[in-house]
Amino acid sequence: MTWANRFRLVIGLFAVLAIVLVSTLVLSVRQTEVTSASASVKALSYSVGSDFAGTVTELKVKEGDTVKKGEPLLTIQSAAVVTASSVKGGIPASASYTASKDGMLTLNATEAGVVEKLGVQVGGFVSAGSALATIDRAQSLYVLAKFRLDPYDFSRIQKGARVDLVMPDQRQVTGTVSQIRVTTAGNGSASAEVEVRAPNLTLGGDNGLGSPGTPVQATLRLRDDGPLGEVFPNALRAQSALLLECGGECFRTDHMPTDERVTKKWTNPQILDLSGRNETGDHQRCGILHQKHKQACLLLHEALGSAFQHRAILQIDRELSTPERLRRGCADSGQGRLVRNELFRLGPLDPTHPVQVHSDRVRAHRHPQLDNVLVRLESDQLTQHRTSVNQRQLACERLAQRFGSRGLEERRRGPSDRRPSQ
Amino acid sequence: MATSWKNKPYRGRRRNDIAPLARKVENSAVESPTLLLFVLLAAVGVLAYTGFLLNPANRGDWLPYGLVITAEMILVAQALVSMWTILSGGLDPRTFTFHHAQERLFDAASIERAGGPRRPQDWPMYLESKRIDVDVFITVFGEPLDKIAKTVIAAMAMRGRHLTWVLDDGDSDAVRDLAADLGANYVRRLSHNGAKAGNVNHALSLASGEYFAIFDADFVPDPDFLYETVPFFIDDNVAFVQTPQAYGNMHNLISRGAGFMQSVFYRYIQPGRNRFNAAFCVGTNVIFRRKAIEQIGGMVTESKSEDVWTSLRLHERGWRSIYIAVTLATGDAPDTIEAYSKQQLRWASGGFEILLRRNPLSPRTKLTIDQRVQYFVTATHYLVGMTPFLLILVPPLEIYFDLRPVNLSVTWITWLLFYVGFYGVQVLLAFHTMGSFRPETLVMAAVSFPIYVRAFVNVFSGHEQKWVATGARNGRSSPFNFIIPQVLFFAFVLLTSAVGIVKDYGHQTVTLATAWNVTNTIVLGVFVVTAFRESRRARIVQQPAVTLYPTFGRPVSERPVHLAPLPVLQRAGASSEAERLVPVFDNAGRTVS
Repeated sequence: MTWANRFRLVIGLFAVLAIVLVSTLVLSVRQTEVTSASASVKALSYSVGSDFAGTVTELKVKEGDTVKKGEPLLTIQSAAVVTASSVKGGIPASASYTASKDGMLTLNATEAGVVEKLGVQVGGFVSAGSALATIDRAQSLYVLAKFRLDPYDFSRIQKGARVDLVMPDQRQVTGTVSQIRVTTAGNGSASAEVEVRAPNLTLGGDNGLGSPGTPVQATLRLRDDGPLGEVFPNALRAQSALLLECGGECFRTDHMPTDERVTKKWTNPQILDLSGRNETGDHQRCGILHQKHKQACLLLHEALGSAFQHRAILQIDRELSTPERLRRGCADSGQGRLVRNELFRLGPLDPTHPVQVHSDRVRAHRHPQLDNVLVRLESDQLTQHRTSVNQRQLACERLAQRFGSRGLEERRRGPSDRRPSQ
Repeated sequence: MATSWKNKPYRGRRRNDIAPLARKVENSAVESPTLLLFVLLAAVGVLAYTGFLLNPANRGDWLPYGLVITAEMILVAQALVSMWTILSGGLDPRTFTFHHAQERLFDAASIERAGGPRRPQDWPMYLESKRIDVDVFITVFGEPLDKIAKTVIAAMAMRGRHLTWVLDDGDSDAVRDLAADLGANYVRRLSHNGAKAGNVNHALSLASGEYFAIFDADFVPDPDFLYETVPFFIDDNVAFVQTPQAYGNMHNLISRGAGFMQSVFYRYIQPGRNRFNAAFCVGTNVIFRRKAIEQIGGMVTESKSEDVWTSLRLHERGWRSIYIAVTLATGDAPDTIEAYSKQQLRWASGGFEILLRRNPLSPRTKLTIDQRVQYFVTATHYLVGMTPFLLILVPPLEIYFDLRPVNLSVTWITWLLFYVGFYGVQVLLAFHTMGSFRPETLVMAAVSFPIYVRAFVNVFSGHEQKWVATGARNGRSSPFNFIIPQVLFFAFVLLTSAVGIVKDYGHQTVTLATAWNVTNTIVLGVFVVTAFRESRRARIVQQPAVTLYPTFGRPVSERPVHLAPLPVLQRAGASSEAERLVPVFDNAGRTVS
């Protein structure tokens, strides 16, 4: 071979190597992402109806108008109201309407939102018990994304995982997975419906792009547990989690929903103190405590009240994914006991099965009813329970009893919670 | 003409006494009715596959789909046209007039005057009772001496009186001495313009025969070459008679792959093209009518593939061409990567040149509609060679980027069914017609795409390539000089296969993309290993230095044994290698070997 050709060959081989490396890098990033087959914005809505028949005399809103809570929507002149008002208790007090003696019935918005449909006109007759308008609730916007996945990819969807949404005007919105539903499609693939909550989606905002029915494209980040994921520590995957220990139980913060409500409370000095009196050390010293985790701490505190004696036992942070940095972070936190547990992998997260989290010393269980709670068994317990599945399940049930059967889920979802789920 | 024979009855041997022709015809499968069945089956397979690919419901991502569709449509179109051409090949070009002329080619009385049955190379030939003169040109360009000697000896020994010329473009004194030893005319040019075509044109200015045959230095002609071809010229419209290139050196992957690819062309495609009057000259084993070549101003020298261009010009002038599927010369297929690459580059460039410079479909080209179709097929044939380039990129696209050529809902079993329907039946067809199928052909077809891409780029960018004779092994260099793209592609698919296997292991599935990619890796790997072997062998076997044979002028007894003088000068019963090439008739007129 001539030297010129040898040179060409070597240069070419380097080029091939570079192409393969870049492509593999792209692959490994893409392996942790799936793009939705279809996705669209949805909202929770409620109907406005009248208990009394009558004639519409005035419409105070149009379709598409934003309404505040208690804002009047329309007025009905009703003979039935006159009759009922003559009887004591004939018109029960209701947030949904006000009635005057002269038979004028004003329907009000019970929740803030946007008028999606107005089915009546001035002068029209409405019968009792009919729905007159539909109102999309404010702050209830979510994205329902449908994915077609192979079982392996499906097993890597996590609640709380990041979802990148691309609006029709190419605007990027970030959301998180809040609910996963699945059916098995033909040829064994999973047809998953994922509810995505994105705080930046506002009803009726963005020139109407925030209205229900808007098609979006959703790219879901999957948990990366392929061999390539370890080859390329990847800054693009900003997935992090904090394991919090409460009593003998363990909570993964990335499975907890973020909530604006909690963020607002962050200024509460007591809560701040809660973070500060963490005996295992100041997380911020590690520099890796995310807003998300703080929120999770607050949620836990709210849920458990004074029972919340938390210790951070482990921080999993993809942005600091090298074992060395993680170890240093844990050492900084002064939690020597669990420093060696930092490297573990989550097994498949299937909502219908309790799943183990493996590591050298930590075995954690996710309870089927309490899907945000990880049960941790200490290493000494581990040796006892290694072969006993029953005992591990007992531990889960103990936890379930402790929080009540509705447990954490129920308490987190307070009356003013605007989660669209269920 | 027939009337003249009434008065002068033929006294010689009947043709079936001399050569039982039927045995030699190699495309007898064309006449088999089963071929039609296979072709119909293959056509159904092709159409089903096309329908499957073009079905919008099956379409996947645009990029790989575009690649697959482009490649497969070229393949499908060429496969259909090839099958059509093969089916057209059932017509024997030998008419009554041919057989009549062949029977009267030699005249018994003049044979006796010319030295009797022991000197068939001196028998005068007659067409329509007129003596004809034939020149035989052997084009030499640096080939090994022993090969040239073999060819020249065989050419001189062909039955029928002819003059043999050695046209040396290699300016070798050794070849000059060899020609003198053997008694052939030797021609050397001052310049080397126009390569082989220029060489022949130069010789035409010296020779004067009405017909001239051309052989490459490595093609050893059969003694019956002239007997089988010259009678066609009884038809005044015939410009040339082409015979196949058969190969005797099927000893390694390259030559087997290249040889098999060629034999499909020579056994089936060319006879089919005969029917379209579009059989073209392939530069060797051919005999021309001098008048025809003079009419188009000599062999075409402007192109590297003078043969196809000469045929095209002749066809444009309304001349007929004849192709017979009878092996009348045996030569060497390229057996090194270098030779193969250069040969394919030259042929592919020739094809693309036609497309660029004289588009057969253009109204300015004066061809019949049959010829237009066939020349267009020829011009685009080497696009088929480029399709593996597109197809090899499809599996990596799926492995790295999940871009699939077909819809996800199409299972690999469906794919496989349609694929077998297309390629399986093609292989079956090959089995039926060729009697065997050589996987080497697939290997060579799959790895040759850089050559064709290069030819395509050369032709369309106007950058000319240096022409080197096929089979010439002067200045042998490492095969890797010629296959850098293949090595790089091999590295690429090898690494991609590794990534694909790791990915599939993670998903616990086997994907078609990985399976294809591994197959591509194996095919390219086989080729690279072949190149390694060739390179190692080339290092071990030192090429002997070219030696001069200063035998010119020395007494016969002192000449080297392997360059023994013409056997006709020797005693009967001598058994030198050279003599065995010359047929000797026994009393019954049969050939004794």
